[in-house]
Formats: sequence, structure tokens, C-alpha cells
Amino acid sequence: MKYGWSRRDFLLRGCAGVCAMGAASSLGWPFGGLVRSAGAETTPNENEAIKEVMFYDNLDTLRVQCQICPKECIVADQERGYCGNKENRGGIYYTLVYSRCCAAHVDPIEKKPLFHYLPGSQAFSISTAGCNFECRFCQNWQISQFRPEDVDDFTLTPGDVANLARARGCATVAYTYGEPVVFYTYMYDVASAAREQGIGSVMISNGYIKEKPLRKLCEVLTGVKIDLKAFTERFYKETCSGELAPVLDALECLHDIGIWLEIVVLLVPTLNDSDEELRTMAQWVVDKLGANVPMHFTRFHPTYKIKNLPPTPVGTLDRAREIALEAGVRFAYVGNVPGHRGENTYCPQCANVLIRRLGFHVLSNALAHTSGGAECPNCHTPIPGVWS
Amino acid sequence: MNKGAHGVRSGGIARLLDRREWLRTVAGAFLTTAARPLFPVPSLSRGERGAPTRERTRAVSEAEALQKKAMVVVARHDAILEDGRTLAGLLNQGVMLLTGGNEPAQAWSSLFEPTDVVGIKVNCIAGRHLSTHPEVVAAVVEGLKMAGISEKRIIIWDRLNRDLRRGGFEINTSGNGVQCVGNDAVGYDPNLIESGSVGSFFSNLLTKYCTAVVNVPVLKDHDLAGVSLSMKNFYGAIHNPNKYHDSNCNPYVAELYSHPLIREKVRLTVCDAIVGQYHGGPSYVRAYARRYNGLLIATDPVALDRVGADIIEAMRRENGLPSLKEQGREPGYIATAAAMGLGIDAPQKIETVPV
Repeated sequence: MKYGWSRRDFLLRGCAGVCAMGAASSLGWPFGGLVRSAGAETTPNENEAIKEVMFYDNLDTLRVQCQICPKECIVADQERGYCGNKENRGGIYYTLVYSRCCAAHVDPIEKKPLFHYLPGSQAFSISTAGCNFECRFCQNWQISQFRPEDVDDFTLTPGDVANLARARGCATVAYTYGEPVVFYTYMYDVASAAREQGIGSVMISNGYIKEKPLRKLCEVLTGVKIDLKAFTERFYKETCSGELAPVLDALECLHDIGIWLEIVVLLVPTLNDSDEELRTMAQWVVDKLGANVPMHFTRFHPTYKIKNLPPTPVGTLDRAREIALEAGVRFAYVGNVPGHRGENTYCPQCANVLIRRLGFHVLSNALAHTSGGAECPNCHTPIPGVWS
Repeated sequence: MNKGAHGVRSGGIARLLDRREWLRTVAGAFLTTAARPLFPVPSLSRGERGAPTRERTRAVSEAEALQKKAMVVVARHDAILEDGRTLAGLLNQGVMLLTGGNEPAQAWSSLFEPTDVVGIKVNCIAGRHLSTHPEVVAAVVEGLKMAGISEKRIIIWDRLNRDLRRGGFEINTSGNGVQCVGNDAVGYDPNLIESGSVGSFFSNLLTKYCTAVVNVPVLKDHDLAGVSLSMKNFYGAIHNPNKYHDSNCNPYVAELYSHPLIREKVRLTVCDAIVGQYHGGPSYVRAYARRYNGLLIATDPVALDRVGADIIEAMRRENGLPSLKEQGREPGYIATAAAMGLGIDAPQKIETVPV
């Protein structure tokens, strides 16, 4: 454990992954306080942290091609892919972040946000460094946009995660904060270990993943939340260094698999918040995924590389929610605005308040549980979700 | 655990140097600034404070620009690696040719001052067989010492301590002798720096410590950029190089190099061409590596990269391989860099001087 912290200390302090912007020891000219303590090797304990990637192909001259996400990085020997946390070593492609967490918290499941998944329960939430996008508004850039060796981390094996989740009374493990697609191998093994202990797993992701690994992963997951960044390729390319089409393919694949799915749309003023785009997006969701997929419209705050735009006006979020409801989305929410009525779950039939929330906290839950799931106690309309 | 977003305490440099050295540093910076008009460079934003840059290297490049020609010295000798004096002699001859100096000390002194803190950016990712040779760096160090720079003001650096060790360098942050350290130990400046479409955190070595840089890349091809030579060597100076490999690394290589922290601090480029690899790079592939027994020396990074790319293409032809362009990895970033005014890439405007 780096710096003498026990795993318990780290968790109790609720410390998110931070970037190695400086160090503490003083060694004199010319580095003063910048150099890490003598003997502290910043590259990982390789025996712990590296494991062969689950999906990749070998090419000529020791090159490999990753097959986890649609970037399909072709990586030469000793180089890394776009995500920065996988490395080709002599023609074998390794993840460098296996068991190497840079963040671990116990969060309300509503924070993910998942509103139709075990409301009021706790999720043991983990992340590693790296990402296959570079969203200019990333809220977790300190871990997503850095390489593993530049981020403080600690070892949590898949078994450790499952045990800690159980010990903390968590019904679920959440793969979140950064981008779990890029720590696929680790996520898969953690989810498998958690499942053995009766603990579910939810992936909080940008959805930029190929079909084969996605289907394999869903064998061990119990829920997914996808960040649908926008509904234009231009936004995906210019603002996220990504692509929209593969994300839509992944969403349709998730629908086909039948796993519980919720969608979040972070509205960035002037960039992805036009009525037309929102209407087109909502209609697509209803047509392709179904009206029962909840959509969350959340508020942007200036950060990382977009600091010149204001926070999303609440009126914009209200408008987005109305557009989604008009398009036929049965459950549309407003996020990052604590106290907003859009945080509540309403019966789509009679408008009865079913679950009342304040931020990430459930204030009341009036759902009536049935053998088939849950329903509105007023009009008995079935309410989709994972309720137990 | 919070490692702290601000690695340097205020006044850190002053506290670390003894009083005499600090006074020399400050006085030197003042005289440099006061004695001649400031070159019209873009203003540096917060976090780019670093140390003051020098005018003389720009004077050399300005002269070249006026003549609209760039010089690249190609120094070769069969015993370049086996005989340290030969290597040093070739390097010094090259620097004299570039600067017009009559003898080595004068030549090196026209590029560097005793008050400089000089970073030597090596390239060690490929391991011992295709990394900057310690012997080349030793010759550079001797040159810098001729300019009056003490060893402890010289810092050999690359991305990772691990890579430096693999390249045959010994990590040294003791403050005595030539320093040697990786970005992973020194950290990155917490202020995001944007240069064109590149947005990165730069190594503290560039932003806080080095007033000048000697760039010592190697001669090799790159599976995406086409070639990995002088300009691409600075992917090792930022925290997120993996984000800038799309489109054959173009325009990212040029945009990164165009930032004043790099462009204005690099006074000299010495491409270690003792071994040249023409295929399979950037890692070492024995079957495609050859002894070229040379150094490419220049103050114009674009011209050097053009000459280096031509050498690699010639090697490929000699060995029956298709050109980089035919393989879909033409190093287009070189032309982009020229278009951005970073140097000259037109062959007719590059004077290749053999030594």
C-alpha cells in the first residue's frame, strides 16, 4: 500500500483517485518537493496489476489490435492504446490496471444514477485510471485522462471487492467514475466474484464497446447505465473524441439482451441541448429501446476543458424532460438539481408520486411490490425496474 | 490520498539554490531580458511560468530563416560508439558548424549559458537496443559543461524511471552530479495547457525547472506517425500522449511542439542515429535495425525530421520494403510543422552537411 495507508483507511477517507501532480518528499536540488520518496517506484507492481486482455488479435511485427471497444487500436510493441491503461509487451496485450483501483466508495445507487434499480440501496463503486473517450467536460478527468502510473491507486482483487461489498452491506458493485469498458478484464472478474456472493453488478459507461465483449459482460451484470453524450456525430467527435453510431449499436444490443438499462444525457449549453436534437434522441429511444427505458437529463458544470460555458439552466433540463415525455418516454428525470420535482418517480398512468427523492436520497417509496415486480399502488400500472 | 495539485512550493527554486547561485540566476535572467528587446512570443499563461528562455538560439534560427535554409549536420563514423573521443568530436564539429563557432567551447556557449538548467530529453521506450545511447548523452553533457553549466544543472529525462533504467541510465535525484529522472517521479504541472487541438498537462521538468532543452531522440520509424524523431520525442513530455495517435499523429505532433514551452526551450537537437530502425517501430525489432553510426545535429527540428525520414525511407528501399506513404503512414506531421512555421521541410532548402 503506497504511503502507508491501509485499504480501510483509504475507503474511510472516501478518497477519490487523484493525479500524481506532486509528491511529498524533499531531496534537495533541483527537485525539492516534487520527487517521490527514494525507492518508491511509481510504476505498478506488475505481478498484481497486469493481466492479459480478454479480447484482442495478434498482427504482424508483434503488433496487436484491441477488440474491446470500436477504436480497435492497433498497438505496436511497448506502446499503449488510446485508453492508456493497456500495453503491448512482446505481442501480448496486457491491462495494467487489473486489481488496481484508484477510487472506491460506498454510494447510494441513485448517484449512478439508477432510479429503477434497488432504490435506497448501496453500491460499492470502483474505478481504475483510463478512458476510451476524452470528453472535454469530464467530471472525473483526474482519473480518466491519466495513465495508471500517474494516479494514486491501491490493490483490490476481485475477491476483495466482493468481500468488501458484502461487508459494507452493498447489494451491488458499480463500475463507475472513469470508464469501465477500459478496465473490462478486471470488471468481468469482479462481477463474476460478486455474483458468487449474491451481489449484483452495474456498469456505468459511455457505451463505447463492441458487441462481442458486451454480450460476454452482460452474462455477469445485472444493470447498465449508459451516458448518451449527444445525438450528433459532430458532438461525439469534437467534444468527446468518440463516435455516436457504435454507442447506438451498443444500446440496441443491450435492449436485445434484456438487461436493465437507464440512460443519462448531460446537457452542455449550446452544444447538445437543441430541441430538435433532444426530440430526435427521445424518439429514437422510444422506437428502438422502448418507452420504459428511463432517461435522465443532468446538469453540466464547467470543468476540465470546458470552463467558458455556464452550468445548464434548469429551464433547459425541464424542457428536455418535457420533450422526452412528449416523445413517449415514460420515465424522464432531471439530475444534478437537488430538490427538483424531476428527481421523483411518477406513475406514467396516473401521475401518482411513487418514489420521492432529494438528491441521491430516497425520502419515500410507495411502490407496491408484486410477484412480477412492482406497480403503482393507485392504479396498479406495472412499473419497470429491478426492485429486488 | 491527495498528492497535492501544486507540486512546487512558492519560492522553491530560491530555497533550493544557495544564495550565490540564486543571485547569478536572477541576474542572468534580468540581463538577458534587459539587454535586448523581447522576441514577440505568445504570452505564457498561468502554470507556464517556468524559467526565462534565451534569445541566442532564436537568433540562430532567425538567421537560418532569413537565409531561408536550414542546416542538418550528418556526422558518421564507424567507430562512433566504440570511441568516446570520436563521438564527442563529431558532436562538437556539428555544433560548431551549426553555430559558426571556431572551437567547441565557443560553439556550445553560443547556445547555452552557465545559468541554464538544461534538460536532456532522451527516448528510452524501446529498451537498450533502440534507445538514446548513454554515450551520446555523455558527449552532450561534456558540451554543456564547456558552456559553463555545472553537472547538477543538467537533467536527463524521459517519461518513466523504468524506461530510463532500461535505456541504461541511472536514476539520480540526489542533487549531486548529472540528474536523471522520469516524469512519473517529478509529476505534471497541474495547469492544463492547450496548444491547437492538444490539451495536456506538461511535465514539471518543462514548466518549472528547465530553461533549455537538448532533444536527443533516436532514428526509428513509427507504426502510426511514420517516423519517431525529434518532434515526436515530446510525446514523452505530456501526460496523455495516447490520445494523440489518430490520423498518423497529425497535426498533434506539430501542435504539441509549437507550444513555447517546447519550441522556445529546445536549443539543440541531436538525433542518436547510431542505430536506425526502418520498420516495426517504435519498439526494437532486430530484423529491421541497422547500424547507421551517425548523429543528426540541427537547430531546426523540422529539417532534422525531414532528413531523418528520408534516411529511413532509403533504408526501407534498400531492404525492399514499401515506402511509408505506400503503407499508409506517411509522416505528414512534418509538412504540418513546416506550415506552422516551426522549421523548413523543403529538401531544396535544407543543407545537409556531412561530417
